[in-house]
Amino acid sequence: MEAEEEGALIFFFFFVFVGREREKKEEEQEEDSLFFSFLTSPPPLFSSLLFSFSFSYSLLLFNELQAIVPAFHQAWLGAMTRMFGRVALSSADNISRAIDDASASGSEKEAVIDMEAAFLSFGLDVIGLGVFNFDFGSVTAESPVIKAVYGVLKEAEHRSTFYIPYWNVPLSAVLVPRQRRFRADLAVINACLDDLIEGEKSFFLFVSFSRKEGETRERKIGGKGREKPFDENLLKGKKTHPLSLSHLSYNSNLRLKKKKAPEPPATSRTPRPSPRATTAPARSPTPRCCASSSTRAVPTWATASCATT
Amino acid sequence: MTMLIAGHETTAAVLTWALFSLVESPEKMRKAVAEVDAACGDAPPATVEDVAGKLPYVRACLAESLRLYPQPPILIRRALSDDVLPAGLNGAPGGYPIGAGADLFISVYNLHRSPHLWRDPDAFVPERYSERFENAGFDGKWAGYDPSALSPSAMYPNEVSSDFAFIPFGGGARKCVGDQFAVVEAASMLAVLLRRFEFSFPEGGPGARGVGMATGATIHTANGLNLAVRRRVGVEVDEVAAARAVAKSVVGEAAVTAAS
Repeated sequence: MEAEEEGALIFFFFFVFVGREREKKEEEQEEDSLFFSFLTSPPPLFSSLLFSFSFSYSLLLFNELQAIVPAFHQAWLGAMTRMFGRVALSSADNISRAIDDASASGSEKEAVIDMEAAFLSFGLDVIGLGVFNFDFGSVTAESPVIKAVYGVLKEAEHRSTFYIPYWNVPLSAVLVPRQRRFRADLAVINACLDDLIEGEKSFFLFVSFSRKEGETRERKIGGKGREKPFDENLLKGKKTHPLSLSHLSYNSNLRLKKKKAPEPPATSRTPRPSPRATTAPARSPTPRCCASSSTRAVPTWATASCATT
Repeated sequence: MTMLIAGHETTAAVLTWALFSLVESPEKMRKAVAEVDAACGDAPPATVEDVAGKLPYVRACLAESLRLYPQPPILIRRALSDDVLPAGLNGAPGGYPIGAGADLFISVYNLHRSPHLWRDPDAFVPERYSERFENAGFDGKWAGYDPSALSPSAMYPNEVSSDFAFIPFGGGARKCVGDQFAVVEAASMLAVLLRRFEFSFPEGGPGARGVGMATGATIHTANGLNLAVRRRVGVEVDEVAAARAVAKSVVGEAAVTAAS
């Protein structure tokens, strides 16, 4: 390698490591003898990777998922902006209080604060309110749920990088301290989610780990035995439902006007049916048929992709 | 899980390094504070348009934080079929053959600090995003950085205006879904903090050097960003009015429900 090229390799360009994961053909083996090859190139390569041929390259862990249109709804983003402001104000309030506490004990009207920790709490509260509709409250207080969430995140990192999946060995959950901690963290998160579901506070997800190495999957608690990747749940669970409802009302207006109004379900006398009232749809066949008919006439996956553009 | 990690650690890291860089360069800090004072005053930005229109320097500071400390510092792609990547500058003339199944780790950190692509690459210069930058060495294969290529509604200099020299949120069909969310979120937080507080490295401490750098899924500090925080002298903040400006709006929330 020429000196100029080597300099470029180290300083001037981004690096691309190429990990060979499959057995290559015989004739290719000579040039690919290293487990890691090391490539270098400037932006044209990037646009090739990310843009022109983006569907030739998949995200490593989520290759089964659809690419998502990179835009949020503007009205939603507007509401989020006010929420950012509210959480930012409560972060500032916390800092103010820390300054007051510090100046009460000393003469200086200043406090030494770990701003990275403050930003992490801010970010966590924002994502909690924005995506999960749940107030972690980590800006104002340290909660055991946050600790548990971080514990589970750490374990996910550990499992995706550790050499042997020893956590599959029977009794490892009891004998290995970090696996015991992981179990305890999951119990805390579970209890919190049970509360949320009891209180019907939010659509929420429960984190579980599949046996497949390095792959984290989430399971929706309400539907027993159904395992879905998180993003899929988010899209299918949040978007398709209101869409099918809006098409249902559209269709009902057009076609069902002449028909006698659908009989109200017995359970609808309670303000909101509990998520466990799974027998409710069976007792009210007409609305149920309308819903099915709506999803048949306007499949929500098709409308979802139209609606996001 | 993706949302939880991608959605909060990254934004926190952007804010951390933006504040770190601003504390290190008092002149840029003064500029950012002046913008916040004029544009927002006590209240956080209440609309996306406030952030887009009134806080260009704060957004440039965030972009500069993302350039120097990209979150995450590497992107990963797996080749689904055989391909040949182009040679680029000083590369092998035949390009680089990539076999199906290969994992590619793209170092955004190096890309964002390349002296071939940036003037004074290691310096924190938010002003750079309004200047044209070209490199004839690429022989037309890189269009350079061109601020006029940016659409007026863009929240940050992107892969279009930099021809893929600046890709803090990736690019193409698999680009980050939360790019605007993140920029508005971080700008709101900075606007609130810069209006109210002054930051400096604690007296007698190790200063900027004590912060340290550690890399995991994101680039974070090794020892935390410990700063001495004071209330700004001569700034009386009306917290009640500030809270009212971003209070939960019933009309707004209803509009969101209807829109979704």
